[in-house]
Amino acid sequence: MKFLRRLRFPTASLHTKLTVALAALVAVVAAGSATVLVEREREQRLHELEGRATRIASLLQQSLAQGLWNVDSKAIQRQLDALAPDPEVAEVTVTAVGYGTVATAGPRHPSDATGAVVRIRPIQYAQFEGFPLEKIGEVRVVLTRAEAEAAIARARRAILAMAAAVVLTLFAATTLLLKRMLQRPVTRLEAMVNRLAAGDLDARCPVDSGDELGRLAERVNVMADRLRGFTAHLRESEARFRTFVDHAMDAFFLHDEQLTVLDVNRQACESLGYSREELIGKRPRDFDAGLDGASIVRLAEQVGAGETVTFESLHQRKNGTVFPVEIRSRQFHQGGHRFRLSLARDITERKRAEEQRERLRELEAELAHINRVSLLGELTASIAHELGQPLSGVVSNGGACLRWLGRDEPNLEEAREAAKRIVRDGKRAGEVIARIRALTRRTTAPREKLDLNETIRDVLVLVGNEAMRNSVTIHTQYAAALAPVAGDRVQVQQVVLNLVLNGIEAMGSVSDRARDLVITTRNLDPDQVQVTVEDSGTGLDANAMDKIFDPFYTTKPTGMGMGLSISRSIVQAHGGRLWAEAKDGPGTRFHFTLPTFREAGSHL
Amino acid sequence: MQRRRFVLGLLQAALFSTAKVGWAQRQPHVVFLNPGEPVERGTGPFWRMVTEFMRPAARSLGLNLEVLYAERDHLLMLRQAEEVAQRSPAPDYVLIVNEKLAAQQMLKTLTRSSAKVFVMHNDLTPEQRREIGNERQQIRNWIGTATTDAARGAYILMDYLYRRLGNQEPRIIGITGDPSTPVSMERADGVKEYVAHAGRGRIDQLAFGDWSYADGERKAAVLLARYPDANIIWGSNDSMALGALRAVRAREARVLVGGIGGFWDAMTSVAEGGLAASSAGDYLIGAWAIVMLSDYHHGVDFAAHGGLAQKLNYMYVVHRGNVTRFDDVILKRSEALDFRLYSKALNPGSGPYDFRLARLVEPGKG
Repeated sequence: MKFLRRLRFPTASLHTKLTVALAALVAVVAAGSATVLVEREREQRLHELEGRATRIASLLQQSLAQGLWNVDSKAIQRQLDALAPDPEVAEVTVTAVGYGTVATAGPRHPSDATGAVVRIRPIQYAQFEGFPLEKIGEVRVVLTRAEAEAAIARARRAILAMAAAVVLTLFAATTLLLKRMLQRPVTRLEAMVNRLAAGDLDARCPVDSGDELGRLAERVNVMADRLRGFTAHLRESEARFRTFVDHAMDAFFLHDEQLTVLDVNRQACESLGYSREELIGKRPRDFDAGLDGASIVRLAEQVGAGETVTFESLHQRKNGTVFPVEIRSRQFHQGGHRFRLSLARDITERKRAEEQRERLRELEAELAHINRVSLLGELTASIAHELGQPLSGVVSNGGACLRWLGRDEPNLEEAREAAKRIVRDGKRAGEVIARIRALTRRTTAPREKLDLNETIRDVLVLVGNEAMRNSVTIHTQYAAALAPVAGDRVQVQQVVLNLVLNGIEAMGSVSDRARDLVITTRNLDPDQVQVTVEDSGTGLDANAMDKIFDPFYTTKPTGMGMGLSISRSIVQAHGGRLWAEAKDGPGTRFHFTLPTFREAGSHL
Repeated sequence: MQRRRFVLGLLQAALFSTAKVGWAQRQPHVVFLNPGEPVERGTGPFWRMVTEFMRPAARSLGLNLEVLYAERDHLLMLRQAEEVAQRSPAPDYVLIVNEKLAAQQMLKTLTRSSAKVFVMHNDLTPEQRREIGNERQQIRNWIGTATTDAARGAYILMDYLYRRLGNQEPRIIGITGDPSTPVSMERADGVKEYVAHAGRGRIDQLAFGDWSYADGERKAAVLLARYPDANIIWGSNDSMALGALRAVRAREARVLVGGIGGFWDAMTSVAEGGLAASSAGDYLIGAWAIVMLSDYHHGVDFAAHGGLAQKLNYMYVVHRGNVTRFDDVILKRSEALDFRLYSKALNPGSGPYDFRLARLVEPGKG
């Protein structure tokens, strides 16, 4: 079997293979049978030869007994001579006991190497009836195997000739039958499949038998039917998808591994001003004005590594104008090939919106600055008081210091103490000025980790005198372990300042009750911290409650109407919320929340 | 006694010679159908010697003898008998031999002839006699039969060989003729008879031969190998005995070889110390038949002197001691032998014929 497996005729037809295989099989079987037959023939003939030798010897043993007893040499010789013409008989010899050869016939020494069949039989005779048999001689029969071998050779030739004839006949018959039963249908089938392969999906094979090949032809016809159906379905589906793709807002580019464009959708053609045929075969650098060669290579490597890469670039139209695009690119495998798909979206509008948002943000910052400056304006008296106290301290301590030094015996110790106080008051004044400067800073700072309690304390330093002038008592209820928040310190202080000054102002007309401003901080939940500023003023009606955060809405005769509006913008820009709440009693509660600070890498 | 006989013989001879003149006009015609060959062709000289002794007998007794040789071909012999039966005038006597049992047929053939038929040497077998009857019965012209007492010939040969062997235990190999010839068996019987009579010795084997020298030699060679202790071989004729002798010599065996026949070459061998003995004389059977027919013709019917069928005891053992004399008297002077000595017509007397050879060889003893 190994041999047969090895014996392949890759180009030979099925008919030839089958014929050759069958011929080989029949030849093997015939050769095997012939060998067995020849061997049997051989065994039989040799067996017969030995049997003949035995028979002849036994016959002579009997028939020669009387003659040898009586020493009838001539009669014995005649008997032996009668055997001599037999070509198988190589030698027959009769010997007498003690004497030797009495008669011999045909001493032909076998010339072949197959040897001879030798039978030696004693010749016995009883002189009188009842006497024991007495050995009087021997007969030696030698039969040559040459004749048997020749006969075997003839038989072998005959058997081999017969086997060859059988093989040839079978071969011829098989060839014809296979040709009729196999080759024709297979050829027809092959022709039909070839037509199918060439695209003729209407090709069909005639079915004229119910055997395996007939059934195969039927199946192939069914397969062709289905293929035609599938193909039609596929074409419809392709057209449908082409429509989807063509109507997509994004431009689709299908590249091969070398980034050559294989296909594009209609949007791609329209956005770039090329026809589909013009775009197919182009490379990104042919219409991408935003990427240099190195960037293209780097992006291609990223995409090749399996990433989905999103980047912005500029596409250049056929007429030379450019427009910004956001490109999402990834690769996929199909049919053992790697492709990459790039979706380009025209982001001209988005870019414009971003620019507008940026301008708005700048305007808002300007407004906030103006708000802060105006707030400081409102605090001028308070700030002057705040500065006046340390400055007074500086003056008085400076005088004291001079006095201690102007003594006959200058009291250096006291002078040093006075100087220390001067330094302390100076620093204090400096700090006040620094806070004011910070509030008037025009630029925005990056968000930082803020302790809201401390931030509020800093603001209260500025408004302490203002509260005192308005007879307002500021109560603070700081949460003990307040979570830090992320924010712009100046903007957060601006929001607190707005709320505190609004509260103080809201209680300006209150005379029948204590003017209390309560500032509370608390951890609302693990993600946000809430600050509440509560006054005991006149409160707001429901109508006003809706409008207080609108720009330019004010209930104050001297207000600009921007404070709460800006504050809400700031809080919302920080990801928080600012809202007002009417109290059960007199006054209003303002709440704002800020998200807690997350370590680097957190989402902001 | 001898003297008186001799004188009587002479007287008879004188009478005979007178009668001879009277017979001369019409000598009885005797045809002998000799089964043998006129010249030596390998079957031995027996039948020629028979003729050789018959001629002086016929001459001396005044018979006209015609010999036809069948050359050992019994079919030819039958044709010859046919021819003789058709002769006219018919011969007076026809002498036939039961060679290969052909006598029965010949007797039947010759019934058509007026010739008297005399069977000699080989008697008809009992079976044959049962079928055709005996002499002078159904076949009226079958007047008589004379055969040699073959057993006696073998008997006396064995007697001599025993004596030569002395005290050794005789171990005997016999080579007799073909079993279908009665004389073969008779001679073997004679040997058996002697061994039984002697009360000692043993017959190792009796083989049947074809009477030839070569066969005798072949058989002796094989049988000597088969019976290494054998010390006597006898042959049923001289040829076989001489052949056996050659085998004995080739084997350098100490074996006494005796033959029967007393032919010339056997005599030579005996004289040279080869054959121990030969029981001789049976070639004279034809001569004795002539004597009996002559007597019959002259009115002395042999039936009155021993019967219609007679077994004649006349054999003589020739050995080294008497071979020269035998040779001289019998063989070398056969032409001169005078058989009138044995004629009952010429020598009237009662009792059977006395054909003993000693009467010729040793006349003093006769």
